[in-house]
Amino acid sequence: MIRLDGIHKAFHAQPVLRGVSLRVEQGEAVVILGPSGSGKSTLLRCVNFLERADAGIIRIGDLEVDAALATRRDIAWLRRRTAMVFQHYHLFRNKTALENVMEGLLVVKRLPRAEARVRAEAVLGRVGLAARLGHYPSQLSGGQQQRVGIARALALEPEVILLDEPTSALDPELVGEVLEVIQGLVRDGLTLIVVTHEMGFAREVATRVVFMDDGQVVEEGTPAELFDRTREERTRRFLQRVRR
Amino acid sequence: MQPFLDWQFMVRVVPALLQALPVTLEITVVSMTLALLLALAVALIRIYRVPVLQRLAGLYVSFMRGTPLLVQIYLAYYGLPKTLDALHAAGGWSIDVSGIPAIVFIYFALTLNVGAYASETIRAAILAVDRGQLEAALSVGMTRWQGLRRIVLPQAFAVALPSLGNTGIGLLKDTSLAFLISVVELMGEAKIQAARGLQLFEVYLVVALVYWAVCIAIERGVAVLERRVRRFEGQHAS
Repeated sequence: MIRLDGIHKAFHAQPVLRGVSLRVEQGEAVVILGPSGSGKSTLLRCVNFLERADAGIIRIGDLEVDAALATRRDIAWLRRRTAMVFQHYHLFRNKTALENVMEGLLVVKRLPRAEARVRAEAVLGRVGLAARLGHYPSQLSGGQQQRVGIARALALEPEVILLDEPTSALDPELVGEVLEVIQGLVRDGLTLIVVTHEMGFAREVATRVVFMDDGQVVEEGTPAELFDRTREERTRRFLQRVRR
Repeated sequence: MQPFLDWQFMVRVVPALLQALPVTLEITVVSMTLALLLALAVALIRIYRVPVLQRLAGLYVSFMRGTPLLVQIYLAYYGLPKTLDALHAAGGWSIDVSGIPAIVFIYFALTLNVGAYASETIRAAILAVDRGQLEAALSVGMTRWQGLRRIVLPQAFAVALPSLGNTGIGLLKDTSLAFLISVVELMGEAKIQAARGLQLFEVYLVVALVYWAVCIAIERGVAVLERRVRRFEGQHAS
């Protein structure tokens, strides 16, 4: 279980998150929607301290971290229980697909090389890239790179995978293959928090949808509740805009 | 009438000059290695704006770039023993300053000089690596240092290599100043050979060719290394 409580974050005195609270149960796939600048990506980045929240509590499982007081050890601990998939993939450019996935296993989990390799190969097979192990990111399509990115996160066996607009940088014809892989993760019962603009994906795959605007959670519910029985005016206006 | 060039003398002088070549190469390799370590430290200090050290690093780079290398060599040669003597007098140190070979001062001066220039190259190269690379490293749980060492620096090195290669070639040629504080490297040996006869032009012509040959070898070596470290940038391989 992941719980965020009262997360605040400002950049140069400009508030971006204004007391966001969120609860994600194990096995849930929560999709966060919202206009750009609403703070959704920042929220994800605060969970694993790529951004340090100014205030708020981050709880994963039985351990909680106060963002304002977090020590280096707390941060390391949180990062080991979370994994991130980036909009622009951010694969290690100097490493092959296989090495990208092995890197965390070797350096952070300290697995023996042979074991790390077996696990990395298995995970890359799971995202359909068994035939691309020795390729460098520069030799892969955007969709393939993002699937390696997902494999890299998956291999670490985190308690939650944070996906930050995982398909936004992809050519339209490549979006499908990545969404399919993510859908597979949901079916397998992994815990995901996904920031996305893919409405179809949110509706069909999410167990819960959260709408954020102006640094706050405006409304949340099941896809049916949020899309078909929208309660808040702000949500309704956003949905109308993106449907058009 | 004498021929324009004394070919026989030129051939004869080659072995003597080549005898001194290892000293030149040694100065180059030792200074370059130490300079790269220093440059990396300075670059990281400036990128991460380490308090106090950042100021000192800026001052150091500015001074090294703003004064002639020859002056720096003399400063090292005369200043370093003086400083060590003073430290000795202040107590505790037991270094016999007169026992330090002159080549150490050359290492010292060249390391500091090249380190300053290379630090700017390395700093720019690190900043050229996408920030997302370090973020990705942190996100899988690596420490900042692990991310730098395993992900960012190898990529930065690929960016910096051509420029560092030029710095290395410049360094090789700058080692020729070492003879001024009586280190017998290639240029020093040339001076000695020249003093023996009247064929000054021949000696310096041979020495020029030797430097040139080594430079070409370095260029080749850097090119091979560059292909290796830039392997990951290649487009569609099988």
